[in-house]
Amino acid sequence: MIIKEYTEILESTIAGTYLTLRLNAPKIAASALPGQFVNIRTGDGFDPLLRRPFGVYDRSGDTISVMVLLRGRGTRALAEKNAGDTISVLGPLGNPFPAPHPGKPPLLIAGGVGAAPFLYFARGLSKPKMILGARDRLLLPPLESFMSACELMISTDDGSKGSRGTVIDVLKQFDLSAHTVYACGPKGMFAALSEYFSAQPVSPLAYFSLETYMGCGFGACKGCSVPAPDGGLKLCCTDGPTFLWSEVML
Amino acid sequence: MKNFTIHTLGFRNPVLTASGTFGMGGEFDGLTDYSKLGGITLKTVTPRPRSGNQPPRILETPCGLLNSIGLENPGMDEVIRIIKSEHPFRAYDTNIVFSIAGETADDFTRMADAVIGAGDIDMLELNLSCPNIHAGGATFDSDCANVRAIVSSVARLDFPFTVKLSPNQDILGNSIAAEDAGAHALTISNTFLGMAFDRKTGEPYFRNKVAGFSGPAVKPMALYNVYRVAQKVKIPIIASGGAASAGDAIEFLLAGASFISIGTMNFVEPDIAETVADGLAEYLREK
Repeated sequence: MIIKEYTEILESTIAGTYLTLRLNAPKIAASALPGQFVNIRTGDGFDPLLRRPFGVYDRSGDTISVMVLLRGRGTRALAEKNAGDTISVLGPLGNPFPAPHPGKPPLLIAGGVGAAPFLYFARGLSKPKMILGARDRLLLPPLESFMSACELMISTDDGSKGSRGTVIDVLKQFDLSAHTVYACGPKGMFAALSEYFSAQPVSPLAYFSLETYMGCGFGACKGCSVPAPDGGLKLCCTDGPTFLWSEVML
Repeated sequence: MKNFTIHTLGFRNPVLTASGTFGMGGEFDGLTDYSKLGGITLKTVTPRPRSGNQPPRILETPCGLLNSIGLENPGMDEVIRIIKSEHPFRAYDTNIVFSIAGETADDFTRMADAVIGAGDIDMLELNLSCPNIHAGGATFDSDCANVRAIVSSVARLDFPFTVKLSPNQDILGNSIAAEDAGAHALTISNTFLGMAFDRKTGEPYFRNKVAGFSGPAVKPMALYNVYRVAQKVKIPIIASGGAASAGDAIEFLLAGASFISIGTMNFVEPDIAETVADGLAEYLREK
């Protein structure tokens, strides 16, 4: 059941280009599962107009957290909020991550802020391996919580942190057929992963958790469609946001 | 308390939702109390299924929203089948307004007849104005004679209906023609045509180049259209264009509307129509 909840900001932390908000959201927290997202009204006025979608980054008791990359008007408006302020949150939205296939331990692949939904997911798994990539170290999300919940492998395009290269360079050391793969990140990362997966002798069991431009988040506006290989379209919000990698064209 | 009626249909209050912004109704289940609304308008249905436009489909602008959805819907036959077998609308304690768009002028009467026959529907909306279809490039309301022909044919069914018009055509001429031809109400209006460009590629942002513009940004223009149509017609006007509060709804009533339809803001605040209805009730009591 989707709930609109006015939530108090308990903590607002800015680290580099990332904002983390911990929200008192007892109703949403009661049912939010890893892989689902919330749609947040970033201001009180009409500009920005639409809510902004964020994967549930963490959940504890009555609280949920979101991790936000500060990149536009909506996210900057959120950064100006303080602890004690109230924001309107709609959720939980979308479908949770499917469980890892028995005998195929999870392997998480994240690009930048795409790591956000994986912390809550990882907490319910036994310290999964996670490949986390970014263009440079400044675009990597805060690492502490991921380090405690995951076995972290970092790559940056410029080598400023972790190994030099992309997540695919790290991924090459893994036997994909032995894992259930979950990926979340920018479009370019999905495109590169699709190409890599297509070249495998056996199609890997891999899921893409997408971030798209979204109107409502609950299936009414039909604004967040994603092309499918059969020529059809999927709605990111209600069909996803997690899809089998071969179900969507990116 | 005022009486809110279109043709033979009474409404508990003058607040409706706009087609294309309230899905097929079920999307808002649990998010708003339907029994607080005058009615809900379902997403426009076309004779055949439409998968809609390839993305991108929406773009936010200051206080507004551009959309190029392309009338995505499962098609008339499928919707009629669902109505007859599952009766989804019976669960909603409010008037159900069913929006239709034909591919030909004859489609409207044929579709209207089929929907009325399926039951569970309280009113029809003839969407003569959706700007996103390219069939020949023109919309039905680009020609007053078309409007007159379609409306007079549907009027013969003697079932409550409203005619949704575009602000990008001769909305005043079309309003007068629709009233003359027997329309029971007018919905003023559909979205305004708009554009955006991708500065990196130099191309229009949307594949169809133009998109429909809606949201609080269009309210002053919608008010103007409602005002000038209200000077010329006697049938009820359902105002649709950027209303986001009871205060906005009051302005539309002052401009001459009898009903207010909430559109884009449903995406932002799924219970906005209920909030507007509550606020408006207070105003109408004081009147």
